[in-house]
Amino acid sequence: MSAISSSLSRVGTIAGNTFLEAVRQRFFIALLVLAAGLLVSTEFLREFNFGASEVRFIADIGFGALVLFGSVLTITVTAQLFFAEIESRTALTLLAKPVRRGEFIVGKFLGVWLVVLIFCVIVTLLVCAVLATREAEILAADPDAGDALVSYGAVIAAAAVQWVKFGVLGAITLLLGSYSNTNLFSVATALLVLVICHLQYLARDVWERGGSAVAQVGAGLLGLLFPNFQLFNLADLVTAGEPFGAALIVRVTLYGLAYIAVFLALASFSFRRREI
Amino acid sequence: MSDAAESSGMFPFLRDRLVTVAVTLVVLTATGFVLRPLEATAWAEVRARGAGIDAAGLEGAVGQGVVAGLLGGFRALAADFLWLKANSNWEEMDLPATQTTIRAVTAIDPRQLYFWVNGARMIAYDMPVWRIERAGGPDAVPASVQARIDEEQARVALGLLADAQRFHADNPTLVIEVANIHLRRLGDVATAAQLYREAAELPGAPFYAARIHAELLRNLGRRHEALEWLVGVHPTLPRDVPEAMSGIVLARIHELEDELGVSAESRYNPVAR
Amino acid sequence: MSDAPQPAVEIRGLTKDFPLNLRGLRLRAVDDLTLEIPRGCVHGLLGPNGSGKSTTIKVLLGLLRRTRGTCRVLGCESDDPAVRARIGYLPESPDFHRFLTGRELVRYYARLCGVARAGREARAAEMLEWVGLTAAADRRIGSYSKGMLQRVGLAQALVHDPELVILDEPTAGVDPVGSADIVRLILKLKEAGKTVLVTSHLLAQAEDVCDRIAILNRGKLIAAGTVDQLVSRSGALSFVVEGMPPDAVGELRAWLDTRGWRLASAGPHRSRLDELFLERIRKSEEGA
Repeated sequence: MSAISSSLSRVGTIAGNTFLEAVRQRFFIALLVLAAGLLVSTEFLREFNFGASEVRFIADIGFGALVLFGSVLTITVTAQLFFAEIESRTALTLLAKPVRRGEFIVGKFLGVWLVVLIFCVIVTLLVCAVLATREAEILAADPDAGDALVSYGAVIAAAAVQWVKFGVLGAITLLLGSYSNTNLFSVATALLVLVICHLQYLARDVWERGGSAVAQVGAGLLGLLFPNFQLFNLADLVTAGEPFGAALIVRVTLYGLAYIAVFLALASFSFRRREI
Repeated sequence: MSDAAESSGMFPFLRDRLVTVAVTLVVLTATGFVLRPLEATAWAEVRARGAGIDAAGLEGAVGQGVVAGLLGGFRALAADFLWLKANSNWEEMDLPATQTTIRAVTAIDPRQLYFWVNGARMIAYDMPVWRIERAGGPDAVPASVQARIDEEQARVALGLLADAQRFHADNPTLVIEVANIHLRRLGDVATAAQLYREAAELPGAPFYAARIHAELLRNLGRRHEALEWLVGVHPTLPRDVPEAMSGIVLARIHELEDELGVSAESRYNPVAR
Repeated sequence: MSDAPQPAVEIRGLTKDFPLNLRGLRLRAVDDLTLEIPRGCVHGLLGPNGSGKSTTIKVLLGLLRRTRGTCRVLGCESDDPAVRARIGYLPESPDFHRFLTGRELVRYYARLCGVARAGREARAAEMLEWVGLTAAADRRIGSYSKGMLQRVGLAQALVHDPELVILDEPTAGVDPVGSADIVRLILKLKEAGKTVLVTSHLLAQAEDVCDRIAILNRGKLIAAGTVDQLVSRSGALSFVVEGMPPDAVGELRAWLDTRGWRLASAGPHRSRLDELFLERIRKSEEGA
């Protein structure tokens, strides 16, 4: 077996085991139930009788659930599974095998990313099901509303791009975990980074308008250090009825994959010096 | 373990951690730099369609706990829930609260035309009624005061719709909404007529915009203009689309020709065109 | 160039410090340790708690970084991950993923060590049988007793047929029967040509199973050599005599005196408590 295929085999083995451990986490099930509950609660929107706009509200709630619970799931499961391995000392026997630190990091990441994929698929299917049901009812009641209210292809594409963002978030959490000593610190810092990445474009705008040299340097650095998570919110375009093409999806995906690779490389670099 | 703990200075202990932090900062900065072209292209497209939020527009809304709404995916949701709150305030006829939440909703999520249009309607059509009721009702409040209230609220609504046009330039729905406020709340038929014409000439305009423009011209006594307009519009109307009402338009043309005494030879003949 | 085989482990001047605080204060866990472990023997690493045994092992496995010195394992640098494919390691009080069965766990580690897919299942089954866990192989690790955890730990350490096997306190917390089984397994490993490095607090057990011993205290090596070299008293011999009546001891002493030899002690020969225990347990189980 060549060195590369051996390495891939080890990464795949660790990823598979991490996945099995992650799906057993009660937290995963709890978040899935919460997301489903939130979607089912959109029934109450009927009281307001928004008509065709109700579909947009449902999509907003669905994507909101996906983003909120998906982000929390990614950060907590990544940190939990990383530190559990180290604190329970299963990492001792694992890293005493011919497993490189980078293979451990990448394997952990892939296992968690796969669990998050399952979560995204289930929530997206639920969103589509609720949308389809409501769309059919609205179109039957109001023929002037048109032929279709929802582009399901756009819904799925937007959800897929969110999954890529969760990958970046998971890789960031691993970098923080590889450096810090506790699960709690990693989770707290990752949540802070999540907020910064979502708001970095706003701060950039404000500071770039500021004018002072210090503010401009600060704005520039902020924009370079943190990835722009707003870029992944194609869901906003879906609910605004703005079509987007494959080129945009490809660009955003490439951007996300590049950051995943960089953060995983940094996590491996940080973890290589860690003593178990 | 050995009791012989020795001091060898701070640097060796911190060195590894500092190197890791330094490498991380350098690599991330370089990554941001390298990916900037890719990000900028995509961001320009996403932002142009309104994925971002205008920082200036948020200055009044931050205090209402909308920070969480800035976290993309959440902000549409935050706007939705605030809209529900606005409806709740509307049901209670709480003018200040309704107006404030409408402003907050449109600041958080300016891409949704629905919020601008319905918010403007609440301000222009419902709030004058509330104010008049609070002042004693239409029988107690002098007509001049009622007119002033109508005008004040209409101006507020028009201000909201003017802000909307920053995000929805050349949207016929918005122009029609402005036209209706001028027509129904301000009684300004001439401005409404002009606006309906502007709307009718925009891509995606509803067929009725052209018809209403003609009707308003007719109401203003500008029947020649109305006739000329309808004669220009009728050939463009699809015969097989009920909403286009090409038959109705043709009937209006003939009515105007009768009113204006147009000779038989000069009458509009759709078949010949 | 010498034809002698390379040692399994070569440690030269190994020092390992742990930082205590930001001011640079550190704790020296291993202090200038130099040690060689030849191939094919069972080598004990003994010492009180905190003497540096586990630290030394973790440095050998690349789990900790050495502060100074060199470590070579099976001819390669100890921090080369590739050499760990030839090492099997059982940590002290091992913990494993509780949701896996014994069989799944051994297969998991076999895969990580590069055991070929074709033989992986058979190899895992063989190891589980070797450690006596065939009956419990399909139960979850979470339901295993301490002794069973040690056994499955041994199985995962051996599944890839390593040349060097490192066992950190393999009998800690295990009852005497289980402990004796583990000792037998260690001797089987030696017969199979493996090099075994074992740490233990149980000195009697170490004396029985090890060929060579190194004793650490406070990070320093204070004794090293074969068991016989270390425990033999020079100039003295032991005999076990059967059938001699106790009152003949005086006659024996007198004879020895004529030769100028001194009878240092004489008394009833005692068998070992662990031997008695095991024999009685075996007999009661055979009787049942």
